[in-house]
Amino acid sequence: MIGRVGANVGGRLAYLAAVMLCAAAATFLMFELLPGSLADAILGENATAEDIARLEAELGLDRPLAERFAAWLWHALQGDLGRSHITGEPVASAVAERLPVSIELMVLAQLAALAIALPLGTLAGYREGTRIDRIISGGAFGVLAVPHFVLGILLILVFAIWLRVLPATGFVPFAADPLGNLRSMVLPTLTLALAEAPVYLRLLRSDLASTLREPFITVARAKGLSDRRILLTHALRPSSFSLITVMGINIGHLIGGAVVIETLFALPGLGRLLIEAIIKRDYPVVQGLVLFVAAAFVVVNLVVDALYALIDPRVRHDRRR
Amino acid sequence: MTALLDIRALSVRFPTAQGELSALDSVALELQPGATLGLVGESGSGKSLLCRAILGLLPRAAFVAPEARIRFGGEDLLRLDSAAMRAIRGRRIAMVFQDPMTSLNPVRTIAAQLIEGMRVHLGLASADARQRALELLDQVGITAPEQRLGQYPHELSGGMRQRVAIAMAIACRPELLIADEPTTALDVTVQAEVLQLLRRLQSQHRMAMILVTHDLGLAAGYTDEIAVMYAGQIVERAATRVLFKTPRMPYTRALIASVPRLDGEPQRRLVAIPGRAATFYGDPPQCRFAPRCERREARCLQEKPALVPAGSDRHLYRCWNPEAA
Amino acid sequence: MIVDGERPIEAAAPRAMPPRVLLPLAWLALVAAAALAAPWLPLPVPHAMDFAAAAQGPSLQHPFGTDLDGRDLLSRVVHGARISLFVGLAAPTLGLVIGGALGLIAAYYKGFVRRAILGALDVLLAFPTLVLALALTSILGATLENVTLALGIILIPAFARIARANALPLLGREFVLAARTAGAGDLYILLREVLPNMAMPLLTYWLTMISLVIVAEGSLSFLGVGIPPPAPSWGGMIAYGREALERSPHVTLVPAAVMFLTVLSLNLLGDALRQRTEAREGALR
Repeated sequence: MIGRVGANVGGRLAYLAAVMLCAAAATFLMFELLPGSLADAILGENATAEDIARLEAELGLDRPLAERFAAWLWHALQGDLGRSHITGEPVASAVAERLPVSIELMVLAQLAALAIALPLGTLAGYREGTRIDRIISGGAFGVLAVPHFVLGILLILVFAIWLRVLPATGFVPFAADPLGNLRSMVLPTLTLALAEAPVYLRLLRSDLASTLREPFITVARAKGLSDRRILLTHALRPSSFSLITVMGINIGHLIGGAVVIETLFALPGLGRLLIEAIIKRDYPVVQGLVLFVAAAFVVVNLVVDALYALIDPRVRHDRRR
Repeated sequence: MTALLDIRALSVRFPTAQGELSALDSVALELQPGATLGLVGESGSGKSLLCRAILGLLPRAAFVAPEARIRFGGEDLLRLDSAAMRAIRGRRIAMVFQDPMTSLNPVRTIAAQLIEGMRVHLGLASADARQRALELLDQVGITAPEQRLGQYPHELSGGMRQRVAIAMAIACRPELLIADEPTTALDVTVQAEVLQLLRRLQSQHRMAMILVTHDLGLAAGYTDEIAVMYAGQIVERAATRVLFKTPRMPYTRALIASVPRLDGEPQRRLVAIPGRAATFYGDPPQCRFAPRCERREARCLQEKPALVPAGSDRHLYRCWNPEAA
Repeated sequence: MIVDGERPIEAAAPRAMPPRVLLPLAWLALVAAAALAAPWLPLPVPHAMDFAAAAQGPSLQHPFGTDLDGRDLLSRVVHGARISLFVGLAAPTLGLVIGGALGLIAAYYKGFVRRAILGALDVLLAFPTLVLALALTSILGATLENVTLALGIILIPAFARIARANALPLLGREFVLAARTAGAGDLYILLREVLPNMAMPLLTYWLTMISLVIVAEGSLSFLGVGIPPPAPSWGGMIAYGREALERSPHVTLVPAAVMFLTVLSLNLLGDALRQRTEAREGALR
């Protein structure tokens, strides 16, 4: 069994490596196609043509495209994602500094979202069509229609401005002050969790409702098992595939930082780094970041794929594309 | 001998846009301990619904008539609360379903599914339950039981899956086994094996069985008594041999005649019953088979025939114009 | 009473539209009408500042109040609707047309063409959505057209997947074989035989994407990398009102409410449409 899973994973890995290579090339090309070169951007508007040419030669920008791409890629594989041309700081170290913040947000938010979606989604799916289901589904639907940033603003309005129990913005590092850290993370976590929970809830509800219509559930009832036991041991696992898929995609996205949330709450994560780099036109940083985020995303997807094999034994024995 | 299962006046209706759909009408049955009752009828006749009614697994929308009674071992199943009913399901009454492909949970091992019933009902510890599971697999004729325990349903063939389903059903030594078309989804060669297995288990454990099937030929070989159902009613009921020898209700006769026989003349046309089974709403004052019946008379469409005895008490039929004895 | 041998027919679906379809339609019609008629409506120009009347609540003169620079909120919201509706309709359409075409081609042709298309789509999918939108707008420059283009490109893989998933079973059916036997060319088959049968799921997804794009555009404006001010994009207005959240929350809440109602209406309609499509498919089976 391990052998077959291994072979499949190997094949998938090779394919993904190829995709990543193309994605890296696309990232590189995106910025090369910009009007005006990097030297242009650094020197600004008053630079003469000679100044630009000189800086280009210095930075190695006059070498052929393929060569520059290879060099860039080679550096990236070694962990050197370039340098900010504004601060001179290596992108890799900026990433290392800000990644933990984004990850903390992601983990807390996923846990919170599950804490909301699992019980409510199970209840709604189990009692499909009843009033409680309509209330839960309707609520989820309504929350889903509120954009993330509006959710965040509403929460800030209520908790930070009206009730004054939580800080509106700002981040306290965990190492410095654990409690302060958690306090500053409550609103961002809640915002993100409320943004994702409705999706998880609806997926779980619909999958669960349809699993409960399967014949093997009737068989389980005919065996005299209680409803609670049936839900927990028979119904939940087959109903979780869509949920896990979407969770995987979300986690993959969130590794790159929840851009909107971080900006709204002034958290020093990867998302905010990206936005600031874009606004300041710090293209090397944008390039390096996009590459990192894409790579992380692809890796997470691979892990989620492997997770399927753990949950669904049919996948283990028979991987068909 | 007191009957193990005694059903009286069981009527089940469903509210629909067209009115109250009569799914079961005044069903009355008796089953002695250790006996086998065949429940025969076309699809839509209400056979499966009857089984579910016995187990208390009717859909939420179903309305059971208040005068109905299902007595099992002295208790009226319809008057039990859900906890008491759950204690009976799987333990004293068990069911085997038609399609083994979908009856087993695809993401759980055979062992887990065999064991859970035993742990819930018999309170067995894991190790004991596992041991018993091995014995059960052996009893149903599955080879290499150790290996099978760790496998998943999709790794087994259809016939093996049905055997596992049977093992699950008899795990707690039920007094009554309901087998709803247990062989319909299986290969012909496997069908006979499974039915013989059921018979053997019955005699080993003194287990009564209700064998539901649309195949009269099958019922002939494996039952003591047969009840024929049509459009939610029992239309004839007799000991198996008596039924085949002297069917009184025209529908029964037509069913018997429609079974292809290898020893009949070649080139003989297969007899089919014209028309299709209809659904009925409310309690129409007529015989439900009349529209398709060759022996239909005026009375058949004006009055509802009752179940009456034909000679002995054990042969009942429902017809105004029965076949000759 | 005998029902003649047929399966009981369910009562026909009620003809009148339920409120959960009627109300969203009404709201969307209102928004669309206001957006289209914006230049001719008797409203102050959206960028007309009036510091004397800054940050006022709703009044007769200014039904939605004014923002921090004294600009009329109703006017800005209506003009913002033009932007949101434009992007909201154009980007999914772009995704539908290009993605649908690619998906159809990938389903029909085998070998290299298919692998190349699917590979390219996978490359596109390797980038998280917002990051890609950000990168594209930063490269192309933040104008209305570029934002629309960027969002449209992002939607291509999803439409391609749906198109392909729906086309594959259709391509195996007899009527395609029949058409080919009758001598029909590839393009004819794709356009006349396969495409009409795929229309429903694609259109349903298109409708769902409208609200997603409106929110995405709002997010980009909120972050300051979308359509630049003074264009009255809803997202931009929401961001802009943040600094006055304590004193004058209406500056943010008014555009937020309008955006919420629009997205909610679109989602409700999409849901209703999906239910009807599914019901129809179920009946065919």
